[in-house]
Amino acid sequence: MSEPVCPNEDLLWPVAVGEQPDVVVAAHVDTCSSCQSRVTGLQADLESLRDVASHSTELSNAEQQTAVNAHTTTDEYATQDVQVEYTPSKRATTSVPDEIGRYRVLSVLGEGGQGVVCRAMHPNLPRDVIIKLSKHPFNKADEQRDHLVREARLLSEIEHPNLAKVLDLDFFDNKPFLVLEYARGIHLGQYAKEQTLTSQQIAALLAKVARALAVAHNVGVVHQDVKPQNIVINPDGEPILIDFGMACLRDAWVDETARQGTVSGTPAYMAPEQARGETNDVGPRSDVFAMGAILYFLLTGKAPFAGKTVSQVVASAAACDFDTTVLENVDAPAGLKRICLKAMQKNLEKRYTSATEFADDLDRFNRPPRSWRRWVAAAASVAALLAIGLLPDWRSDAPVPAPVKPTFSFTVSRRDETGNKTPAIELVDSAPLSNGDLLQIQGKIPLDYQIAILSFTSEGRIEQLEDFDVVETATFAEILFPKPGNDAPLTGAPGTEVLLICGRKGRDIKPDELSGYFDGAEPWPALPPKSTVRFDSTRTWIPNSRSFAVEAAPEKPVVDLAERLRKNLLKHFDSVDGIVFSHRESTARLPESKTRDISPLKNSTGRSQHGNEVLPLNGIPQDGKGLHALLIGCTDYYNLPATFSLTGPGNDMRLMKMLLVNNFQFQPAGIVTLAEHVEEESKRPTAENIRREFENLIAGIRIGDRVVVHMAGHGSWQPDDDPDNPEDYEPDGRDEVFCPADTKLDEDAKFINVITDDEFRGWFTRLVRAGATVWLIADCCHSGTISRAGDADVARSLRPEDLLGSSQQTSGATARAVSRGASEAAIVDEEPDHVDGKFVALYASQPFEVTYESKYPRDSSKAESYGILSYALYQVLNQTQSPLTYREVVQRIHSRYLSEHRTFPTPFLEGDADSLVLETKVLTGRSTLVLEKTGDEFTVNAGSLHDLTHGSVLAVKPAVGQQDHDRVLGYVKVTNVGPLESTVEPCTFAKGTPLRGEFPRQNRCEIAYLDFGLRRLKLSVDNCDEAGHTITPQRRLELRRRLDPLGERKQQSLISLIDDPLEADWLIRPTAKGLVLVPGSNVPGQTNDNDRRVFGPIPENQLAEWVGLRMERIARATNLIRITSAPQEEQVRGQFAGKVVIELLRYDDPAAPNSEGRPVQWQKDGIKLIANEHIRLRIKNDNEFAIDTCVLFVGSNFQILQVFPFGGNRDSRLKPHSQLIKKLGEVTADTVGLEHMAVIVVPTRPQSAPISFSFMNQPTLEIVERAAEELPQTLESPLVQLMLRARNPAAGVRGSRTARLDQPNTEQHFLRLFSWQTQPDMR
Amino acid sequence: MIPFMEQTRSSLLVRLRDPDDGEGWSEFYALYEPFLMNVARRLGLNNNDCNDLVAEVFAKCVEKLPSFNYDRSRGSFRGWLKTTMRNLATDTWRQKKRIADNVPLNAGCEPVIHDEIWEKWDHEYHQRILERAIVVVHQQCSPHVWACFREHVLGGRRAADVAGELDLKTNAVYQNSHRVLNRVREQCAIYDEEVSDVRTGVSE
Repeated sequence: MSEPVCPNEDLLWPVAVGEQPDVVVAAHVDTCSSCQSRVTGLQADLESLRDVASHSTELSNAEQQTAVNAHTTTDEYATQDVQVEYTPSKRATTSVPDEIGRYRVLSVLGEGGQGVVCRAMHPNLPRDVIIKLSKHPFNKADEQRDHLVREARLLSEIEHPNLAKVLDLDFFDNKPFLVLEYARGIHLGQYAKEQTLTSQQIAALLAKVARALAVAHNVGVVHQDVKPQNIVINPDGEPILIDFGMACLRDAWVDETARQGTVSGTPAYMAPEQARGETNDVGPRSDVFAMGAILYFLLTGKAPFAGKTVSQVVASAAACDFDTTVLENVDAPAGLKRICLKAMQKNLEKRYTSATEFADDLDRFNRPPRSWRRWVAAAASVAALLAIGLLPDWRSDAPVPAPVKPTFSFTVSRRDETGNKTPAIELVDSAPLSNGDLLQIQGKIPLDYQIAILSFTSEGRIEQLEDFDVVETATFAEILFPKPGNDAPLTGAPGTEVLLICGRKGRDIKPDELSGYFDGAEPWPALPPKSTVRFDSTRTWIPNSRSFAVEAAPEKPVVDLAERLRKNLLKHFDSVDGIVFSHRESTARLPESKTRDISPLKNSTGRSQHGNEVLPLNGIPQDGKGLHALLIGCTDYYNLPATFSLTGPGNDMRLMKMLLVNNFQFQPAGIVTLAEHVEEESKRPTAENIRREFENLIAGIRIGDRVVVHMAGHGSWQPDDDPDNPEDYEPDGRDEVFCPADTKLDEDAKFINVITDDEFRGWFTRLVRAGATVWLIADCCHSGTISRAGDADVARSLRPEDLLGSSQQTSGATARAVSRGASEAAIVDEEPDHVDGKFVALYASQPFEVTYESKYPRDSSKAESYGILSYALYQVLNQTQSPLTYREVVQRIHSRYLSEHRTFPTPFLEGDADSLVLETKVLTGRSTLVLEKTGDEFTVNAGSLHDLTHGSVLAVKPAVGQQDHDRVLGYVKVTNVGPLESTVEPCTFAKGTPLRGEFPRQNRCEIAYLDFGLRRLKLSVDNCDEAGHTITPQRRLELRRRLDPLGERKQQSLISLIDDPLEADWLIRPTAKGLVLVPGSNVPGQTNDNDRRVFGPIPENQLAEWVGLRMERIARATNLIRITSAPQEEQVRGQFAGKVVIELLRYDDPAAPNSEGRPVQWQKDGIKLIANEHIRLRIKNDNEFAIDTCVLFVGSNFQILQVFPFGGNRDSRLKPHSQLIKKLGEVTADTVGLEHMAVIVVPTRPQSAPISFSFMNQPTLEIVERAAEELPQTLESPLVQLMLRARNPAAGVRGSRTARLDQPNTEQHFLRLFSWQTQPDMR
Repeated sequence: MIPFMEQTRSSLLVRLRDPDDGEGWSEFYALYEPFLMNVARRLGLNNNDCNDLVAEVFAKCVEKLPSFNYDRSRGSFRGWLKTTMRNLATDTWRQKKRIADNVPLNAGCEPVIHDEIWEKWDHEYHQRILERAIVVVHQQCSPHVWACFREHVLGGRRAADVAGELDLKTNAVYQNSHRVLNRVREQCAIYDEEVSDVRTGVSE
């Protein structure tokens, strides 16, 4: 990296004004995009000045001269855009020959600086073509000519119905020309003007274009000029992407000297990297950006980037400066807007990774969601609106119909103990199968299609299955195997089974032809029991596999065979579809399984049919005693409007029952089901029955028992029934309730006859107190609140420890828990010495989320409704071969959701997540974080859903049980966080070394440092005054209520209101001087307290307002400090930061000639500055390129001021090999406490102004008392610790990089924080 | 440490947090008065009404500026001033109308909507800032330096020609022009604006 040194602005001046520049400077500017942008900036300034001066009377008066004659400037870059439209141009003046090569020219369509575009006739075929002929002779070596021809050949091989083909490339008069397919029609820009496109049409149209783009990307060709004008809508309404290949051939088109550093393409839709001329970054994602920009155009009617001149447009494209508010305000579905914004991310890493991904999202948008029915909180009002027709019916925009492709689903059902068929489960989730399992195939085929279903049996026979029905609809035919009413039980010997469907358009499949394609079948190779292999017309794959390494997979022989079969069959058929699965010996656990081919109808228990091992439960007798389950599924809400009724919960109950019996040794007798399908009134899920069954359950518990409670149905929020009780204060004023089947609405539209969170809390507390290990599964809306969410960030939370009052609690918390669960208090007191059980809750959604029921198996015509959590839970537990911890279960549920493209709701756990499901034993050695290496990349199996954050550091150790399992092998730092997986890289941490070389596959990672990022500050009302006197609960409650508006305002993202003053970062405290704001570490009545910052007095009538604003400032200042003080790793700072020196210099007498500053040294207790001493900041840039710097001062009272660059000083650019020494303030004895200077350095970025963070500026907080002179030594408050950590080099915080500042390249900034305290001048 | 605010180059609006900063207020008046008067005249008010309206706008500024939250987003003052002036103009117009016609105030006697004037506000505001900045810098420049800037930058003449007339080297013309430009940039920054009114979107 040896870029030449960027010249000063005055040397660039001649370039900007178009005069004779210095040769070296001119050459530099040609190649330096940064300087090009500086030139553009300078030109813009000069232009503005001329413009103003030309009209200014004030200036002319001032000068007492005639006004200066202003010239109209011509834009330097305006003529460089050579794009030519397909619209006839009047400018075509160059004489164009009648024939170009073999092609006869019909008309000239347009002409630009570099080439001419004509319509011409194909010599042999009766069709027109487009010819683009360069104006510049191609004077390059033969091999380059060959290269060009090869590229064109590559282009000509790209074929897609939505792509205008490249037909030919040749030379005419030594000038290259390109022959393209002629697409008739009008371009998308015009089309959109003439037609009103629905959201669905827009999505369908762009998805097609994106898929066409993807085909080209796959062969390595990038379009680089995707815009509405390059999408032609043909007379059939199909979009055709034109002008492909221009980018690749531009080298040939454009005169070499004119091309340097210029930007080609149309800037109005251009990706920032392309506009900045960063050719290395231009790739498929640049086209994706342009697709997003077209979507923006279609939604808003405007191109994203606009301006008076081309250079202005280029500048806004380079900065990715488009108006998002226009998009937000436009009346279009939010889903489409999200897709648009994701495609148009400035940082290309954040965009869709491919055009296919973009197209997939558009297609998903066009598929309506499956069910909204569990959305309860708003359901009443929505129903009312629907009734009077107020809600827009967005489905009226009929999706553009897509041709039906043959699709099939393979499912399995079983017989339960009563002989009823269980709901169908996808075969891929049910393997291995055993005899008696009922196979089903459903599918969709086009109307003119014929199919044959074949089975390759485990014994090596090929059988044709003919017992299927074809039901024709208007647009497709549905396949059902077996015919309705029939069963297709699996029979025969164990082994590998294959089901295969061949399809053909039009012609019949003759019965005898099939045998010709298979000559004597061999039995297939064995599959791992739970594996399946699927194949269809396009590919062969291993469902449910997390590994991409098919080569090493045990399924490999089967995959190979399936792939061969697939390819062979495709020679004879139009489609194939199939599944390979393993057929196992029926288990010998149950008497029925001894006979094979048993009729499933005679099988009364169903357990024998189930393929899964029964997981032995630790310490539970095999007879299932001590196992209790209470399953509550509410489907019919007969007192509520019909819109409230559900179908899923009934199925959820059956699924759960099957799971508990088959996989967890529960006896049917130990399972109490309250559901609608049961005839008896006492088994219906009414409030009364639920209460009774909980009491029965509690009465029967012995120490060590296991209890599962599953609740499915509606959940809701209710106004707090006892708002004035300070002990049961719901900050949001809402009780969370579960709606039993007999829930009613009273005249105020409030639900009555519901079960509140308080009731549940009481029952669960008593179960645990009785010694039971309880697992609650709450599959209902707002379920996170039913026994109360564990997330302390959520203001309405009651934590699990509050709920259960375990012995590890602090006395305060226990006291609160006891008094809270008012009715249970007595029980707690009576049994002081008994052994508590455990409580784990799995919630379907966060408190603020809703959850759904949906049809499963997906895409099956026989799908039935299930709660999405219940279904996923069943699948996960039914799949496992070994016991899982709760945390692992939730992780797998998240994975399943993601595979269904669900990003919400977010199921979560509270309680002991690391114990095995329904076990008491905690697997401490079982780490949930495992490091893997794939290629050059390290990943860990946890992500944002597991609270892992960017910048966190993990210690890697061998897995428990391995040798030296406590030894830290090295450290890794999280560099990229996905929802479930994160990328990490080795780093140093504290005194530890980065992870090097080989590490054991069996390993575990422990979190060594968690970067909280933009953490919310916890605020509470103190429970005593400054003298330590307790304040009354009424007074506390009153103050707390006054803070309520904070929860509703924007500060919500920065502040969380909590109840417990001990956990608060900040406290509101009543004092003699009125209310004040103090750090949470400030203990009243203690004189040795170190952090004595006290802010106020707070005007009591504006409590929330005043506190909100101050907390916002505190949060901002502390987050700034946090960001700039992340752990530092000198070694991985990279080349750039390694060549930047930032230090504070101390001068004895700066006025003295040749005075040199001495770097301020770190001391063991941090930096101390002495009042009146002379301090300068030095930033030295030893890089070969320029850097931008920015310095923020953070005062001890949370003032933030950008001290450099200040005001309009734009020259904060530090040239290569230069330094800046700047006095940034006076050190005086007037300031006390910890102060900070955050220095931010980034390499100068092309086409952009120097960085500035002046938006962070904020004034100080009002002070009541001054901080103490001495530094705090040990303090518990996380805030103060953070400040100290920021200040103490021993903690390794002298500077760091972080990716938090929204810069495009995480490698490319360098942050450094100085923190010091000023001491009085004692001299 | 008391960080340097670089008082001399501090934002004018920051200075005006001090209601007693006479010099600051005179500069404020000199900067905005011609602009506001121009807008007022185009609203169709007579000279007296124009003066009254502009005086009211300034009174509002004196009242609000000491607590104005100036640095959240650049250009916010521009918007605030526009809203303030527009509201006061509507009031003025209504009063006028009431006195003149003695008709009740209702929707039927809304003022003529001068939308085009308010649409141009941002652009004209920026132009005014730039104009004032040039004038201020002009007063601070030596005639010699100013001549380079005036001829070469504002006049768009070739540096070599200007250099010939002024008996300077071409480079000196570039350098002098550059120095003046930098001063204009600083002056614009004092007014919380930039020379070319293009948002880069980098840091805000």
